[in-house]
Amino acid sequence: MPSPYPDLCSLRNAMRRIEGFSLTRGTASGGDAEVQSLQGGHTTQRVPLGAAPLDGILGGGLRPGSLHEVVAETARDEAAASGFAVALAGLVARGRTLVWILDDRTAWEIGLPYRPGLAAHGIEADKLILVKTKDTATTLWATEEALRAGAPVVLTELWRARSYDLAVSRRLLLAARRRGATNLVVHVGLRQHEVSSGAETRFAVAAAPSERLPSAGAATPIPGPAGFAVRLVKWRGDPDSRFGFDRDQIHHLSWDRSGRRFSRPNDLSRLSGRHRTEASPRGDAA
Amino acid sequence: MARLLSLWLPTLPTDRLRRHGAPEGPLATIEPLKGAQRIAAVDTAAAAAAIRPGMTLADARAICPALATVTADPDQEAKALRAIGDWGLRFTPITALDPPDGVLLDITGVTHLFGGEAALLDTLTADLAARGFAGRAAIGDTIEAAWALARFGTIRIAPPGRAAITALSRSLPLAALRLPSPVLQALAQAGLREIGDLLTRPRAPLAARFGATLLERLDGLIGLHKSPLTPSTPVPLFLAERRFAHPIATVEAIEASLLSLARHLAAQLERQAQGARRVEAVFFRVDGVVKRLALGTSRPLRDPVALVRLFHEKLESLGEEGLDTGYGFDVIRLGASVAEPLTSAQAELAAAAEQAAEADLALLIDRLGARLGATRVVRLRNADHHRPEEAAIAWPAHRLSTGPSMPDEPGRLRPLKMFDRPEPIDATAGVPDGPPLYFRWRRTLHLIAAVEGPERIAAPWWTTAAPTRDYFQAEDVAGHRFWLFREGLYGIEAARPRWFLHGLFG
Repeated sequence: MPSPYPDLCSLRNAMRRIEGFSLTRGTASGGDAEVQSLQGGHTTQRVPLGAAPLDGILGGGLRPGSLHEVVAETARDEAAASGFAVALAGLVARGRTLVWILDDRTAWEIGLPYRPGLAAHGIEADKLILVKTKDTATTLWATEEALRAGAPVVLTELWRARSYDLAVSRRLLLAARRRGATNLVVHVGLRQHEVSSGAETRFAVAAAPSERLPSAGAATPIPGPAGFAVRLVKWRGDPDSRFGFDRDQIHHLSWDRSGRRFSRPNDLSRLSGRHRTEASPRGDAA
Repeated sequence: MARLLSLWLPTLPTDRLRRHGAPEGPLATIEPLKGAQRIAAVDTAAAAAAIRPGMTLADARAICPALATVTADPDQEAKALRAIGDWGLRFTPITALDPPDGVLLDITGVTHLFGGEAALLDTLTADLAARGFAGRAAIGDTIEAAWALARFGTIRIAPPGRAAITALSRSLPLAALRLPSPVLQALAQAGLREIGDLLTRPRAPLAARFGATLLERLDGLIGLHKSPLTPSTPVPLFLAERRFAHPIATVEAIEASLLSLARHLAAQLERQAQGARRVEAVFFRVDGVVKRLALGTSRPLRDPVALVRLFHEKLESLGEEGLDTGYGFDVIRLGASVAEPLTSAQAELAAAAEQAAEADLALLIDRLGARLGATRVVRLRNADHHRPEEAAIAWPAHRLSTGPSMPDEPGRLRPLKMFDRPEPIDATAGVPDGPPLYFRWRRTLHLIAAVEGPERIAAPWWTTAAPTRDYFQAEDVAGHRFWLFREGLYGIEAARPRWFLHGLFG
């Protein structure tokens, strides 16, 4: 849309360029969580997840205007990984428009977004635009289009996207940076060692037993807030400390449906060991 | 002053068969009528052999043993007429079908493009003959005048004005009034043969004896009354058109010409401060086939480049094969059939930035919709239904603004993802009407550690008897969460209730 003030427009563009530059430098020097920039009229402030150790490693939280990936630990955890990414998308979107792109195969594997359940998972359903594609190539095209168009948050669910590589992810990352849009990519059907990309962060997510509540009448307890066991397997936000975090550390998070935020589960003693190696099968904790 | 062209295709059924390789020689179509095979339509050779529609097949064979016959196919004939109607759109945007064997064209103000009315008639009939259809066409001030001249006139063009058509129609037979046959018979019995016989008689007795239709048709013929033409395709409000001496077939050339058309369209829209909400590109292939590409936009749009980018997505998804360019297109027309006021940008700065962001999103929705199809770019809305699969509807995003919809039902536990259709699972419950203990889904066994439910959801009483469902939220030992239901009340609706998995929680 042509602006009525062309001079002002070019001035703002120049400011954006300078701000964008200082933002990358600012992060490189100290990982300051409060670095702000005028991008697309919104302040890009790190979005805390609500769980202290993870937010600490990430330098305050998830950075908007970048590319973040979520991978399931095992084939059984695909839905949990998707749910985790949806919650992240909701946290970053804060009531702004969310574009959710997935292909038919993914919908067959883990289902289509269901409107009545979105609010409890942190999504403002009225602001959601759902895009259903036929294949990976179209999904990636639609994602790039959405990022270029300045959609605040784009959630992409890919099914075994072997074509998703460094070059593709770099394109998405650049498109995201240009307009300050955030792209969350969920790899369905791939394990974390099968993905290589230029993403800023990558989470490996598994479901974790929730803090169950005793049932009044029956022996079987009632499910509590949804639990996640999250590993941060990639983070390139801070070049100095790229290897300064523990990839095998499992962060236990639980999703607070009413508060719409993550928190740390209260009772950590029930949960399995803090460390585990890549090769060992994930023990069922309960 | 309106000018209308009526095209008559006297041998449409047999011409259609000839195009599909019917043999030479007299040809007729037959249909069963009153227990006998009767002639439905004939070609010129058969007509010359005195074969007439309505004859029994046996009589016709007796007159002309060489007559070839094919069973009439009214559906295919109607389809052929529709194709000719589409082809007629290359002459004017306003056409109407005139079944069973005619097409009407409103040629008001377009004849200069073809070098006058006579030249237009020549072009039209020659073009039609090249496609294998014999046609007679005539031009008049009203539908009735053009219709009568095409079928019964010796002169093809009635000059404008009532005096001319009145003089021309005097010698026409009464059948040119297109009256129902009982009225025609009654007129014949009264000794009336030509239209001139009617014109000299007082009107009131005619109406009293033969009905009001007679005078209506007569007035239509001589221009006292103008009946409206109902276009068979909606007429665009804004229109730009381009004709090519050499047909174009490549996508690049098509896009280039669409851009120049879009500029013309934008100029027209701008003069009226309008933006297009629905745009249609019509491609006329040299062999008479008409292709259409229609686009809806989520907000009034006028920018030619943005408009062509939408068509680019559409063309990209179709490709040259999808558009079936064939020998190429010689006419391309771009029209806006729905337009809305488009005000210029707001002066206020903050609002302008917000509006720009919204405009970008609207354009995104349009582009994705153009490429993927509008039903694949959706917004989800709550619906007033209790059955979970009907509780949400997907609406094409370009038809829906961001406004709020029905609020969510509070306190209901609903999954994040739902499957298109519930997936059958093998579940085992401790007691037949209790919660499940473990189940197998997609070849994986899940032991249930926590469960909440049942939430009983019955089909509304006015629908057919779908069994009651008991929904459970179940968490397995590893923390995966599922939305399961048991179909049918144990012992009442089903002896062995079946289990399904309907959705997944994040």
